[in-house]
Amino acid sequence: MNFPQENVLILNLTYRCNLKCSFCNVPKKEEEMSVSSARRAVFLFLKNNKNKQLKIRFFGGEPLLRFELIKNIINYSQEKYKNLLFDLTTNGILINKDIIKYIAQKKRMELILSCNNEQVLISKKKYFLLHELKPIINFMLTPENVDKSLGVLRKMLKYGFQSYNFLPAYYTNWTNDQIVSLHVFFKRALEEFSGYKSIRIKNLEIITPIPLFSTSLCIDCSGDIYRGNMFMDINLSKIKNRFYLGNIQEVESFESLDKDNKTIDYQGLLMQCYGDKLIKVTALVDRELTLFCQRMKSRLN
Amino acid sequence: MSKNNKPKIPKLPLIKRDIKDFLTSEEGSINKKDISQIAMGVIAIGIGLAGAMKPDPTEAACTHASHGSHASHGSHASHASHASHASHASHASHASHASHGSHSSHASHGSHGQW
Repeated sequence: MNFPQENVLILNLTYRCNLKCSFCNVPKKEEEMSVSSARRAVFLFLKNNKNKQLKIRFFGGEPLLRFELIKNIINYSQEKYKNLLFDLTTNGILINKDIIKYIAQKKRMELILSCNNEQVLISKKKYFLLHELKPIINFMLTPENVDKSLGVLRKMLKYGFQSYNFLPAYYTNWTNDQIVSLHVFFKRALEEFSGYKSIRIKNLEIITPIPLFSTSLCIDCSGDIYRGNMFMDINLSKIKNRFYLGNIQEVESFESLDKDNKTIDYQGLLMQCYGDKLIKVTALVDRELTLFCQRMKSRLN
Repeated sequence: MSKNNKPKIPKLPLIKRDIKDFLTSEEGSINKKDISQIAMGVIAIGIGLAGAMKPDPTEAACTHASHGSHASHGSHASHASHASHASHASHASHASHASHGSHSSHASHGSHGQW
């Protein structure tokens, strides 16, 4: 389901992470969201919203480092609003039978697993099977791993993972050969998928004006409110204030925020921080993903 | 028989290989040596984009995949043919695409890639 960006609230629960991935631009630090900040953010998000289907996205850092807070937010928000979905983006390392049991019981949580190490995910497969959970695999494609990615995809398919969100590394240097490899990967992935009936490609449900980033409201650990999650990117830290909208303790409603949202020149800001070359390479890489999505969509139709 | 009269036998048998076998090994790894042969097409795309791409990913993300005339794109038998698409990318204004009916929603194009 393609959620309108305004129907999604992103909660950055922590900057802590148990991995240090080369492609991740989120700084690692000790900052964490408090229970009171999380509840206040959810309260403001749900206020004045009736009947709309809304989604809360748990983000980080590694959100499962704050699993108690996640449970707290879910219980609190479901008391207040019924038509609410959740998603959780995790590297999967901390997943255990209790976490999966909880997520399965809630039924309204989508689990998004970053495929940094397929062996980790495969080792957790038994828990997903036990509760009939179908996690989405955030399939990272980097210049370094793209040549091996088809083998990884085949392995993931063999182990029964059938939902994917492909994420080529954006704002990163790719050589021409590596972009060719990416092109070939997507072409071969299409062929691989033809052998499966229940493949879900989450990318088909997503259209964002800026590659990689969301433009939904995002609440930082401190309670600061930002337009989108671009502010978390360490390379965009010098323009962080361009996305700043206030603090949850100071506002009475989210509706009063962001009146000049349309004046944010996202592309110009990205160009300013990343430079001409990386933006062009990003466009080339994104072009390959778009082409893949177009072909996948026409096949499904 | 003298050395010079030996019949010439090819040293390696010529095997016709499907493009997909050509590009990937059994393990799914992409054969770097082989893909270098098609890399030139992508370089050409890069050159085309480098000269003309606006800093607007919503536009840059447009792949023209929905263009009917690009149906042959799907086969990618040779990337070299891609070179001719390089100029396509430089159609920043897309003025010349007015006849592409499917492009009426061009402005709404974005990226499918999100965390």
